[in-house]
Formats: sequence, C-alpha cells, structure tokens
Amino acid sequence: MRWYRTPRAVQRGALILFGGFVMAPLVWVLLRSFENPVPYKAENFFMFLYRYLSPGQYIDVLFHNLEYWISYWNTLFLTVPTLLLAMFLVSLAAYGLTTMGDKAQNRILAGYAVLALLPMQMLLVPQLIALSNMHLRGSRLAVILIGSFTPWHLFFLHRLCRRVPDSVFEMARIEGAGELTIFCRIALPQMRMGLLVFGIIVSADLWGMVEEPLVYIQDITKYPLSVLFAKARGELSYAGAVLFSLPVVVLFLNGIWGVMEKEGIQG
Amino acid sequence: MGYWRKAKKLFFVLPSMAGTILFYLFPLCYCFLYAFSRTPGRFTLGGLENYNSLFHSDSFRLALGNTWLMMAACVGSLAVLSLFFVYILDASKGVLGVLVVLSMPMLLPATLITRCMEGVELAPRLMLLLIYLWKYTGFHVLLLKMMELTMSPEWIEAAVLEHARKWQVFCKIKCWYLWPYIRFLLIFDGICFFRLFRESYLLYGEYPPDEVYVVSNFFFNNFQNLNYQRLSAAAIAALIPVLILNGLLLKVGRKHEMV
Repeated sequence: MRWYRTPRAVQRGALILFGGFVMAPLVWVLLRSFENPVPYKAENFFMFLYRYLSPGQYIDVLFHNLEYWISYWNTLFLTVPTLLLAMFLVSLAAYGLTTMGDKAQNRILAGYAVLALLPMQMLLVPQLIALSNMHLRGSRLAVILIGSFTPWHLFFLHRLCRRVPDSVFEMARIEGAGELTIFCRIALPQMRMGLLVFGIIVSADLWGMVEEPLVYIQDITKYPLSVLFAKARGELSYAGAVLFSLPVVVLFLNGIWGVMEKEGIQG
Repeated sequence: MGYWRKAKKLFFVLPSMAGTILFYLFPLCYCFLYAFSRTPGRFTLGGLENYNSLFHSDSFRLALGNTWLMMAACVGSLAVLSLFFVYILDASKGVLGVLVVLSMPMLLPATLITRCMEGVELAPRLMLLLIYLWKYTGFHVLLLKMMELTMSPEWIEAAVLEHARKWQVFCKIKCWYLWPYIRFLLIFDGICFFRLFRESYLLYGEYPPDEVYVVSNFFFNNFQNLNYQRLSAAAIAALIPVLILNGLLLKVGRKHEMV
C-alpha cells in the first residue's frame, strides 16, 4: 500500500504553499495590530520596538472606545439568541425529517435548498414589509427571527446528521418510547457532534452579519460591531478587528478539536 | 394510529417550516406578485412592464452576467483546488490538524478579511476570487478528508489487488463515495458566493467596479433607491437559474450514490 501514498515531501510542499497562502495575510494583520497608533520615527532599536511592538492599539480599543464595546454587546445580543433558537428549531426539524420517508425528505430538502441559494438581498423588501406588519421593524427580534429561520441551516445540519441509522429510532419505538423521548434521549446525543459543527459555523456567520442589522434594525445604537466596521471603512484599528475575531477563532479551534477527539479521528 | 404517528413526526418539522414559510417563502411569493405591479405600496397591475424595463437595463444585464461568470469561476476553482488537495494529502492526524488551522479563514468576519487584503493591488475580480478561495478551501478539504475516513478501507484494498492506479481509485471509488458531500458543498458554495457581498461591500462600497458588480449589489442598490417593483422583478428573474442549477445538482449522480 506504500505506493498508494503521496510522497511525504510533496505533501509537505503542498501544505507549506497552502499554509503560506492562508496564514500570510493573518500574520500581517496581527503584526500591524501591534503598530503604535502614534507614528514615531524609528531612529534606534528601542524606538523601532516602540513603533512596531506596542500595545497602543489594544489599549485604545479596550479602554478608550465606548462605541466599540456597545457594539460588541450588541453583537452578543444578536448572535447568542439567534444561535440558540436556530439550534433548537433545526435539531427538531432534522430529527423530524430523518423519520420521514426518503421521498418526502428529499422534496422538503430540495425546497429548502432553493430558498437557501437565493441571495438574501433579494428578499429584503418583502421581509421588511412582513416585519413591519408584525411591528418588529427596528427591533433586534427582527434580526433574530430572520436569522433563526435561515433555510440553509436545516439543509446543512441534515447533511451532518444523516448518518444516524433509522433502525435505532425504530428499536426505541418498539420498546414503547414516545417521539419526544426518542428525540431527547437518542437523537440529540447522536446529533451532538453535528450540532457542535453547525453551532461553530453558524455563530461565525452571525458574528459577521452586516446586511440584516443594517436593513432591519435601522438604529445606530443597536448595530453590531460588524456594521460599525462597515461604516467606519478602514478607520477602526487592526487591534479592533483582531479582538472582534478572537471569540470565533477560539470557539472554532476548541470545538473542532473536540469533535475530532470524540469522533476518534486518528488518521 | 398511522396518521397520528405521521402527524407527530410532522410536529417536529413544523416550527422550522412555519418560520421559513413566513419569512422566506411568503416574501418570495410576494415578490412574484409585486413584480407585476406598476406602483409601489398598493398593487396595480402593470403586466410585464417591470420585466421589460429590467431586461433593457444595462446594470441588470451586467450584474447577471458577472454573477454567473464569477460564480462559475469561484465555485469551479474551489472544487478543483479542494479535490486536488484531497488527492495528494493523506488523512493523517498531523495533516488534519494543519487543515483545522487552515480552515479558520472561513469563520473570520468580513471586517478582518478586508483588513488582511488592504494594500494588495489586484484586479477586482481576481481579488474576490482569491478571497473566496482563501476563505473556503481549507474547510472543504478538511470536511472531505474527514468524510474520507469513514470509508471502508476494504474497498481500496480490493481495488489495489485489482492493480488499480491511485488516480483510478480516486476517480472511481473515492469521488463517488464523496459525491453526496461534494454536491452538498457545491450548493453550500453557491450560498457562500452570495455572502461574498459583505467583503465586496467593505472593499469597494455600494458601487463596486463594473467587473464585480453582481446581483447582490443590484438588489442592495435598488433596495436603497426604493425601487421595489424592479427589485421584485429582478428577484424572480434571478430565481429561474437558481432553480435550474439546484435541480441539476440534486439530480446528478443520485443513482450512483454510495451513502
């Protein structure tokens, strides 16, 4: 079987090239985030260090920028409830779908896939009218509801959780378990890994949302940080962008390692 | 008893379905209706006026052409690049670990991504293509590699005994095994392509250069100009290719699916 493997040098070369392509811009931003906001002349070594290795941008963002923190909290107020509601709804629906026949399942998923493929800007007007009729225009709930029912969520989770065998549910039914018991005791634990991956990806998507709050909230005091960055267009510091991305990166690295360990992926 | 059981199963899907219908399907139907209206606000039948003006609009034709061209380039090159890495990389723990780190850009907010690209002078189309590949290649390779691990090694061993070459094993066994996931990723890529609007908006503002003016920009600008009937007509016109594309993706290769 050794012939079947790609030579190690080729693999390493490919990974280095690919890694350089991905990591270089990130490293560049990280380095720029340590640049002193006051552009001193780097006349000697210590001045050079003071210019290019300074926590100045981080101090500015963390301690002198109230607007940044208000928007940070706004991001949390929008992301956390949307994510929780989406996970609840989608896990129920994914279980419901897996217990249906193949034909019904495929038809429903095809419908969801069509809706998921539509650019969100396309539905802005009718969604806005629907939200206005429900007196939700301008409130955070508008973004939370639109975000929780996004069609690609079900499409995505269903694919991740498709491997749960139907016979497991059937056995439980024969033993007399109700649908709700099966969902809570069997389906949810089986879907745990899929839900974790889903949670990571959806939270990252929600963390960076721009169009939805811009259109549905229309109140500058309730805008998340991503909108603030969009409006500032390059005026906010690199440190601000790094700090904003940090929770998503930590969540991702932690979560995905957990998935790999629990799934027993050894390679 | 049978009906009750079916109704109970439907009960699980119902909350999600109700919301999707209310916030996505109804608005789409509303778009369909509104595309034939002459006036904003109240419906007055205007026939095909909106479609007529839409297809005579240079900006819409430019947006539609750019969308399909860029979508084909982005999704196609991403699929080829991902499969290339799946082909040459082994699924060892070290490789998977590196791939985890390399799939990080997918999760980064558009803000950071545009900051990363600051100072890079490239043609706008190439810039967006690079951002797209940069964001999603790692995640695609990781997902396909993880799915490859669930494949029975006996299939490959059997192929090796039959003197199959590596590329034959890849094309005729692995790719077919991975096809449902590849298809899922192709649909997901389409969704992600429209999300590239965020980066485009942050990089080039509301009116990007002509080469990267896509339907998302067209929709957003018409929305801001309160041109709702035109927006609705454009939505319906853009829906048809989406339906065809989706139908094709869901049908192709279903017969040969292994999982």
